[in-house]
Amino acid sequence: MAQDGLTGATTPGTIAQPVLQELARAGGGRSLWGDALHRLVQNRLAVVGAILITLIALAAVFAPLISPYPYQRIFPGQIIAGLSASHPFGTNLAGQDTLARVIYGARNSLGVGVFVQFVILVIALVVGGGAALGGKYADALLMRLTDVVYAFPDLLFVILLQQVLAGTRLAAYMGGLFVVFFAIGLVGWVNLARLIRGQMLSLRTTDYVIAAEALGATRLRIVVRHMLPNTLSPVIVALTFGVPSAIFTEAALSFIGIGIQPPLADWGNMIYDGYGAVLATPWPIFFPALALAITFLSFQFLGDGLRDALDPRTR
Amino acid sequence: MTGYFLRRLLWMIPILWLVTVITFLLMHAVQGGPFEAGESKSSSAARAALNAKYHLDQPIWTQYGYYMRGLLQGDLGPDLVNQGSSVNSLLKQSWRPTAELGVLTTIYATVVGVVLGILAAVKRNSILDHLSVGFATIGASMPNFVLGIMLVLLFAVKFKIFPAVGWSHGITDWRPVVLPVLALGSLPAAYIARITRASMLEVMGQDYIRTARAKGLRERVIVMRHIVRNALIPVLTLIGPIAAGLLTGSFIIEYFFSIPGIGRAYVQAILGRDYPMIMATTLLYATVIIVANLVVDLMYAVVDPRIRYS
Repeated sequence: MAQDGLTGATTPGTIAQPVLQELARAGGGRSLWGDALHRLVQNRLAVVGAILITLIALAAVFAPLISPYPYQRIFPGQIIAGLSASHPFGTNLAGQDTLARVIYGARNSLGVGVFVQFVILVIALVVGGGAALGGKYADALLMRLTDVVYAFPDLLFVILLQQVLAGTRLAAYMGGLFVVFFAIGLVGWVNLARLIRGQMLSLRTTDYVIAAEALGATRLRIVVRHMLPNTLSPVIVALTFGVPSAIFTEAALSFIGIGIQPPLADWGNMIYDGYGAVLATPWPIFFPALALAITFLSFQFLGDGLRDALDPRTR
Repeated sequence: MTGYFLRRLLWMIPILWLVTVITFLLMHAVQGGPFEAGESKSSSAARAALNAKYHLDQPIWTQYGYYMRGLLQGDLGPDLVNQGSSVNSLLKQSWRPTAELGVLTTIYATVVGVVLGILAAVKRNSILDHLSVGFATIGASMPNFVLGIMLVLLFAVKFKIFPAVGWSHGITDWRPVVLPVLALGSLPAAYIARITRASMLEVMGQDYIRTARAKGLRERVIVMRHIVRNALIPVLTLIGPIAAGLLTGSFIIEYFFSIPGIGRAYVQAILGRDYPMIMATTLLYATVIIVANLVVDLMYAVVDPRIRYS
């Protein structure tokens, strides 16, 4: 009888269907990432953040198509003009359209945020992963290196590096932007490297990694198949929170005149530029500052949502 | 445990030494020197004489040797941009505003952040909670220089309550201090408020809080003695890095408010290739950061008896 029951259960279409539905209802029918995505879309603020980030990214990519004017075009006689139909966001001290510059500025500001995270991720993976997996001496050496970089005052080190790199051949790439990205990335990897090392060290003693070792899996397979995916969640969260902080750093550099230089449009240098006319009109500062705030909050909300979605303990 | 911290203290020496090496190499890799043609009015003979006087014509390791010999005797070197004065005297003038700004801002951020966080958690979902979460969100969405611009427009230009630039000259002259502290401290205050609120809520769900209620303790005692005390442990350890960040990261605000502090001097030093000043500032700030880090670890061990270093 028990035999019949078993075969009955595994026949497709009879009992399996309700069981599957039950599983799906309980949330067990999804993969780890599907499950996380499901929880992420339940978080309204995170969804709003993701939509806004997508819109800003689209504006950045398609800037030449949607911008009413080229960002560097000067309208004579339209210096710090107010809001109007032809210049919805007004114009700046040089007579350039603020809307066009905010749209093009998204390229540099968002570009800084994303590219810096890429630099940070590569360095942190090499240093943090190398420290966790490379043995005692590599660990000691790499962690002392992190201690040294940690000791440097961030913003001041960025300025020094930016000045060094500006004299090299790298300065020719992307109109000097590459140097700014790279300098911020070279300074900001310490916390992520420590996070990756800690995560990997604790994963090394988990049952499933030991089981995989016992089954004779190669080191490479264990790292790629078991350890990296389980390191990914906190890394994604850290990178998401890292984007706005990189954007702030770049904006601060541009604000004191060291980052992205006019005529290139950048939210930081637009605020600096607008400050020169702030007593006459607040609009040249208002719009880039608003764009910065929206971008920052979007990443903040998305980061919060991702952390809740990816952390199994908050279920 | 004493042994652990002694070892950490000793570690500071090689770390700071590496900081000097890296900074020295990097700043000499920046193109140009302090006495370049076109930047100063002097003739090429005078420039050569200046370069020789400060050993800038020697190989870099010789220069480093000269620098380290001075450093170990407490001499941070000459101020190359302002001829005739030394980095020691420059730092002596400029450390005060930076330290005052850093300390006052840390106090402001901590007090406002902790109070807002506690109130928000205790009166959860009240107007007070929404207001402080709103403050924490908006405070964290603006770079400090944007906040600085807004504060100056409102309080210096429109209402003329506080001056827009400058720094105080003593304890009675507190007005110039207000705007820079608000501009610099609001983002960390918002961050501390967020962490405090989350930590409070976590502690309020613990079993021992239910036990305290079941014992019939007064709400005030439960909140102050049982919840706040435990909830502030993670906050306490945040204050170290935040203080270090505020002390060493205030230069945008110093620049904006024309505060004669170290950060502003550093930016001028880099742009002027004033090597000794760059070295001195980096070393000073690195020391602050390392010490703050050490203090945090010490505090961990003091407030949480479960943590033991060896």
